[in-house]
Amino acid sequence: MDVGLKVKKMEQNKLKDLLEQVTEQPSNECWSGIESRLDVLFPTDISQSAMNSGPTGASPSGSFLSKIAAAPLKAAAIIGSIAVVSVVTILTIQTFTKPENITTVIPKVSETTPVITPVDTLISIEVTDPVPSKKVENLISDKTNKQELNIVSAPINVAPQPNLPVTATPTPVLTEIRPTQTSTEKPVSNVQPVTNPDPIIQNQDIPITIPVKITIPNVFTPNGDGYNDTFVIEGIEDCSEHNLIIKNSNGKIIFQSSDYQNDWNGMDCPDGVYIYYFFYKVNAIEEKMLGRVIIKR
Amino acid sequence: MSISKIDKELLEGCLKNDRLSQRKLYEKYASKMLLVCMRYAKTKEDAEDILIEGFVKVFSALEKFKMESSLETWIHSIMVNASISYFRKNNKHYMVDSIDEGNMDIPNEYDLDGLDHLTGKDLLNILQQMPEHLKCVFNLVAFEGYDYEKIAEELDINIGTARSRMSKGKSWLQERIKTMHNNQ
Repeated sequence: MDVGLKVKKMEQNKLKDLLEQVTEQPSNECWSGIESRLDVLFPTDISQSAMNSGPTGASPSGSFLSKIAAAPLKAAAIIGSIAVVSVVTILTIQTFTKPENITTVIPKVSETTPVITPVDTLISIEVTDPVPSKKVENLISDKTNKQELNIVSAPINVAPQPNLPVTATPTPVLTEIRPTQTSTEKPVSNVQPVTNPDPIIQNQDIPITIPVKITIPNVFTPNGDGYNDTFVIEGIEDCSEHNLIIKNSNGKIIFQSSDYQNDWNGMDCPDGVYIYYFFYKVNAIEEKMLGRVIIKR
Repeated sequence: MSISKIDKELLEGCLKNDRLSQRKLYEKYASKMLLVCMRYAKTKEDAEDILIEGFVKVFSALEKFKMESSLETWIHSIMVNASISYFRKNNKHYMVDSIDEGNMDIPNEYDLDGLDHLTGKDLLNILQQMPEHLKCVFNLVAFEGYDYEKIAEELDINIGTARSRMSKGKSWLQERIKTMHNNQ
């Protein structure tokens, strides 16, 4: 080897050796920065990421153990869902056999709707007879007169009866209906065919869930022109609890609020891409949304 | 080169987008790679920015890792590339190629004296203060062992410029080591 090269090599090694004495630990923000970027690039299942975001340092066998530990939980979840399905089936059959079937208008949910979360609301469904009929007073307090319906993912198509036009007020954005699993009473109406042959259905207040539509913009322009100047989360007022975190592209938290009033104007952050985390709670269900938002002035 | 069993397990987890494995992989190499980034950056914060970029790249390109080299070498090279893009981004407007810079012929084959009196920390501090354009070339030659041709291509400069920057960087470093030595 050329002497010059040899010297160079030695020098290189010397430099390297010297630097190797240095130990520098990256700050904790580093990983959270990477994680937030990964969350956007490769989103994982929320529950899974929550499980995995805990402290690490366990040996690789740790993950194996956690899988074993998780197995009974999974099994329980499967049994639980089977139970729900069977309850639903039974209740559905009962609904079908009743004289007063319920039809609901099902408007199409816009495809752009990012997230729909159910929230409990009371709507009243009036079922009227073509024959002039008397309406019976609402019986909200009486639990037996209540049919609890919940929007869930299993669709039940309740066929309309031609002689029983149904109006639902207010028109709910319904996707599907099924009786709640928690309701202990059978969802049988107080209007029994035997006692009341007249097919008049009372005004009933039926708690159903109306989906909350949360829309988070991907860009806003805080330039003071009066248009789109703040980061507005549509539907935030329907959330019982919420927490908004905005990080910059390096994962540093630049804005955080648990009582966000749609008033963040980007402060003095430069134009660019930011990552938002929006944790919210509707109907006791916690949800999380995350994504990118661009500030462009 | 074969890849260790632990690395393999981690890799499989990372490929499945398992955050725990990703974090373990990160924790295994983070401090080593931070050191690489710190050589190129001015401050530790800048180095961490590069580190984040680098690791995001690592996780998104993990499928392309063919296990031909060791995982560490592969991650290292990604960190170097991230550092180069960091340099490019921050020196867009640096007026580079003045003609005389390219043609300057400085004898560059002299030893660095006084290295023995330095601690690693000192060396790192000095390196971080080196002017950006010299630092990048110096790092690539002295630590990564790139040849000038490759550097010229990567940084979009002339080979002559790369050479002269290397020697300038070296004399700059030498100067700094000397003053530091004299001050002590």
